[in-house]
Amino acid sequence: MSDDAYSFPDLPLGPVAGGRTVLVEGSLIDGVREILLRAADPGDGEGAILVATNSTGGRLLDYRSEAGCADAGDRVRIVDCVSAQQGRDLDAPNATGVSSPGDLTGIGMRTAEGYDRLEADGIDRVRVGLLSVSTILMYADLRRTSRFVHVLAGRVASAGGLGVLALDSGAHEERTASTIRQLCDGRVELRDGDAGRELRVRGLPDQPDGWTPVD
Amino acid sequence: MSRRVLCVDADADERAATAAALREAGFAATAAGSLADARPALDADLDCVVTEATLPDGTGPELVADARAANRDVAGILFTDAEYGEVDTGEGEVVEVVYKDRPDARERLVRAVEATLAGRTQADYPLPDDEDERLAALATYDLDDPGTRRALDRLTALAVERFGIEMASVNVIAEDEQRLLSCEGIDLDDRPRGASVCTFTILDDGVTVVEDLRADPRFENVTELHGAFRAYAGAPVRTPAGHAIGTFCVYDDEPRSFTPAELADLERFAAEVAEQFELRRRLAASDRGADVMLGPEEGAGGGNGNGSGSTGR
Repeated sequence: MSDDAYSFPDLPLGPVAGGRTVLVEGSLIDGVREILLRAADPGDGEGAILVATNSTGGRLLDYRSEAGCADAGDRVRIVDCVSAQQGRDLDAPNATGVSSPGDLTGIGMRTAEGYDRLEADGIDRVRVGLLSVSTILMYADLRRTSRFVHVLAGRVASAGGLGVLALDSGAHEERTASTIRQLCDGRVELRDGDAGRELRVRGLPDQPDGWTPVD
Repeated sequence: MSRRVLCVDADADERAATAAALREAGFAATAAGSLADARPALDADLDCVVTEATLPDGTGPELVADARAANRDVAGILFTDAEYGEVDTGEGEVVEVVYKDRPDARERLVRAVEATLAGRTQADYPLPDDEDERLAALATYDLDDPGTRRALDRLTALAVERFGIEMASVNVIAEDEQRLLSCEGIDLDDRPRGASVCTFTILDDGVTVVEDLRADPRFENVTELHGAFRAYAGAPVRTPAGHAIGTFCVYDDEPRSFTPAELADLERFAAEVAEQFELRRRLAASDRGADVMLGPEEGAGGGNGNGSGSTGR
């Protein structure tokens, strides 16, 4: 694995090369939110941009804490797609808002701002987390959502970053889920198995075989 | 051929500098100062729009939406000094964003245009994992050879009889478009990949069936497709090395399903097209006096030459 790979010390995942975008598939019960936040948790010297489509920025920070992620201060930037829609003020530091999860132009502008601010702080290794594609699909049709995911993944690729996108696969018909999968470099599937919460990796090299328990 | 980029900015100096930077990078860049000035340039051959977020008579996202009405595969990049909140983001058109007030902004923009067009990162459909190899393989075939076209016409005519329906076609999926090589009973033009069902067919291992185009989430809002047909079945045409370069399709103007026997036959038709392509490529090489040696394509084996299906991606 190259030196630019992103590692996941708290997950049973091997390193993932820079520039890749990974889809995390599962339900809330399977722990999709927790696994996404842990995968997008910035390592030393890294930053993160988290796009919150179904919770406010402050709530997302609470979820990060519950998932065991340490406070990363200014290294975590949040694009809050919920607060303005609910008529509320932003409730997290380092959060910027857009009008709704369907404001895909706005999410693009805010994400670009996030990259620029992290770069201004000397950070050029960035993890981008989107929670979740399923919410975007409630506001935009599959083709517009596909274009959005493609642009996000393209930005990750050109910046040598890591993209982590969540999809509640049970909420969509197979043709929709399959299309979103095909836009990503690989995927992490989650299930509530015999041994508790488990994950399985598809489409990425040097990863554990089969279903693996998640602590 | 240089890729066409349209730069739209009300500030004459800004748009001139942006267009100049893009020309220096090898793009065929033109400039306009407003949405109205830009509209005549929005055609099917435009590759990318670089626009300020706010224009004298509209917005950048609005301009990108108009450009995509002419060609849904156009890339859109906001090159702006406006912050979020100063811009009417409208219906949420998906664009890349580069801020002007950052260091080296124009160099960043050029890199963004290059990356966007080279990687086609604004496509609203997935690309095959083997896209580069697939296109390289496609380039080795003479698609305009009259003998090939006659053979394909015979196959589409046969397919119409076999399926008892009126429409069949053979297509290839090039970098930016679906090219129709043979059509029987249906009048379709070459079209952008985003407005093509076959764009999805080459992603799948086997036959792709769309029983009702308007009820399929991949096509329900692709209005360019509506009206021509409702039901579709397509099999990938694969090179001997397994790269899907095109499709063999049948269509119906009413929603319908297809039997396993029909789908197996469709794969056989696709295999026959692949064999025709390959045979004529070898014949052409032989006519030119070239050595007809087994290249990487031939040597890898597989493909759907046996008509029993296709290789995996």
